[in-house]
Amino acid sequence: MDESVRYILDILRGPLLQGTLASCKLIICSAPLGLLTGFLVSTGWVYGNRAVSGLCRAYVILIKGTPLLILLFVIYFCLPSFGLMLSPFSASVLGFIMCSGAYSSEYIRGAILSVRSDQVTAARALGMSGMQAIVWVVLPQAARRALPGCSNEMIYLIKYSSLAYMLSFIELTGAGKMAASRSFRFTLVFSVVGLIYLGMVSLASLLFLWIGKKLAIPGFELKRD
Amino acid sequence: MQSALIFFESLPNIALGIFTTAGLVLIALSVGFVVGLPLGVIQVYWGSSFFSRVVSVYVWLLRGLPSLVLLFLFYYGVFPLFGIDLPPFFVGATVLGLRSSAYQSQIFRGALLSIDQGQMQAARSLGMSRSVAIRSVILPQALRVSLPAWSNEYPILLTDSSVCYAIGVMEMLTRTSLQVSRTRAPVPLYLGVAVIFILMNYIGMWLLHYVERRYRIPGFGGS
Amino acid sequence: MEDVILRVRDLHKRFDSEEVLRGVTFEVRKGDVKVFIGPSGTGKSTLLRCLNRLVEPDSGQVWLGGDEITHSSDIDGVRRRMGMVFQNFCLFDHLTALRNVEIGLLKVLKMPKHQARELALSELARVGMERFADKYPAELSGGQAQRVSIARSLAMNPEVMLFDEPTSALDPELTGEVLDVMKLLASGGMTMLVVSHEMEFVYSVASEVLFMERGVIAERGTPRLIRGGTAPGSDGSSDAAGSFERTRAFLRHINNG
Repeated sequence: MDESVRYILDILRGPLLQGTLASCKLIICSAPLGLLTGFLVSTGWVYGNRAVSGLCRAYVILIKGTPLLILLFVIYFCLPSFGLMLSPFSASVLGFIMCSGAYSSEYIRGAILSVRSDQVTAARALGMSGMQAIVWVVLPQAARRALPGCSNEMIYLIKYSSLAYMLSFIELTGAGKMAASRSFRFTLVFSVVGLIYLGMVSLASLLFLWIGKKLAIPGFELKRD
Repeated sequence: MQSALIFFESLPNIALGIFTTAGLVLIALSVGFVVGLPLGVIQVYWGSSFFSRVVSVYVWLLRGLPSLVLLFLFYYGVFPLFGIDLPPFFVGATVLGLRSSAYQSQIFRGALLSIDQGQMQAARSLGMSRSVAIRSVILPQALRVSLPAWSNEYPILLTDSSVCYAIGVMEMLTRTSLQVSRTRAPVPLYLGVAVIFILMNYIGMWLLHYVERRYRIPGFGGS
Repeated sequence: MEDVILRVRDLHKRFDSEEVLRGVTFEVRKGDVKVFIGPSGTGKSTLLRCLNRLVEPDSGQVWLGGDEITHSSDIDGVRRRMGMVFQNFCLFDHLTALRNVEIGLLKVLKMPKHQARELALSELARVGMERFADKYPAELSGGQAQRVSIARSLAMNPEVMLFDEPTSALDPELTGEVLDVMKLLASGGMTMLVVSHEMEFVYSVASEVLFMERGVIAERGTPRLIRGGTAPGSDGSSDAAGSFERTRAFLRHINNG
């Protein structure tokens, strides 16, 4: 038992720490851009002309229908044929952005549609252009309503960041796999790895709860179309 | 043209993977249902018991862990530790199923909570025991309520199933990768298999919508 | 005719099968308070919305100042010259009272921050809402919300204010505070077009009452004429016609109802 504890401390200080940092790097690079993509795609879907709206719709349908792992393989193995060679890290981040963008756009789109139409009318009556009304009135309201869904999506992102290992980018899961393969203590190592993921997920949930509280507006949640 | 040729040449081999993938999804959906439904019932009707707390922890664990980590944990760790020697396919199906059971239990929990209290009281007033009332009055309603949310488990499991590539289950992605290493033509093969997944996704959703319409009760559960 | 600020000629609007406006013509001089009354569904709200083209009229012309605006390409520029107050307030739900008043100044008029804040605060003070500057719309009563929405429009320094049933969504005990603000504006010389059935308000501030029925102005005249029963035309301030039979019948109807 004592020996197991020492082993855990060893790998925690060594490969698992490195792996956790690598995972964090993946997540921190993907999450904001994924959300931005979600905003652009949902705005395009709702407000774009036929071509833009159709394009955004097709994007969401295609990405949501394709397993993320295949999306990663397409990016990593197929793009070089078109002259675009990405490192495992960049390919993973691009895949995560595309995936979380598609999924979070669904929440944001729902939130945009829930903004009462009189809000836009009032903005236009003040002399705002359509674009100004979207940016200053619709999106700030939609962002608040999309927050719970988008937080969930970001928590999914933490979990599926492990797929970067399939492109041989050594993040937490990969680091665990390699350490376990050396010591043959799979159950132990993956339990520890699992706990680290649970910790990251819980931390992210707390963070989003905090953001939600910061952004909360008295009585706002109740007013919907 | 060359690409199309390579794709169609490899198609028979990849197509075999459709059955493996479909098998993974069906088993996982069933395991998820069989395990998830009782868990949901326990959480709603035995809310303050010790079991209910165990269920909460189970759900939290399985929903918080990446499927890849779960897969490795069971395939390399837990199963060998208990001397269980299963082929990768069954390990994959079990892990996907257990994970799905955590999500499904919450779907059923929500559906059970949405059933009017009066239904239980009416059933009890007829002299039904609690468990009979749950089985013959509450569940038939709750299952219909949960169908739309439950349908969502299908595309989730379908896309998740490709993770089983990591432990060498011969599903579509694994077979495709093998073909890619043989033909050195990633573009037609990976794009092709993506299209197959999207098609399977849509066909499955269409079937589920059909079931939903079929079992709808007039005036029950909204639109 | 120098002081004519808004001129409307032969405005038509059709929604699907229903012709809501069937040729509406009138003029508004600076400082006028025109009140539109009439049964619901006779196009009063549509008329106001056609003026700032929140609803596009099918035909007819509108001049604001000297500019024909029915076909103006800069409709946002036109709208900022007309304030509009809605029946259900339409405050921006995610902004405090102060930020509601500021946002048009900042984003539409591109005013510097401190100047916008100062102006917004003074407009809130004008409607007696400065103490509620940091409250969100959901924390305000209907009357308070409507006063903020009036301040929001006033801050843009409009040439005309349009009021679309500003008190009809309010509980009776809250209408007074809104009407008081509107009376204050009227006495300050603001040009106003109001859809309202608050007859006490109408009689005290309206320069002309226009009775609309089935998409046209059926009868029109000063409040004194409508109430007084003297022959039209003697007042001299309006081209009133008819005997106000229908207007009076309508007023009797809403008083009983």
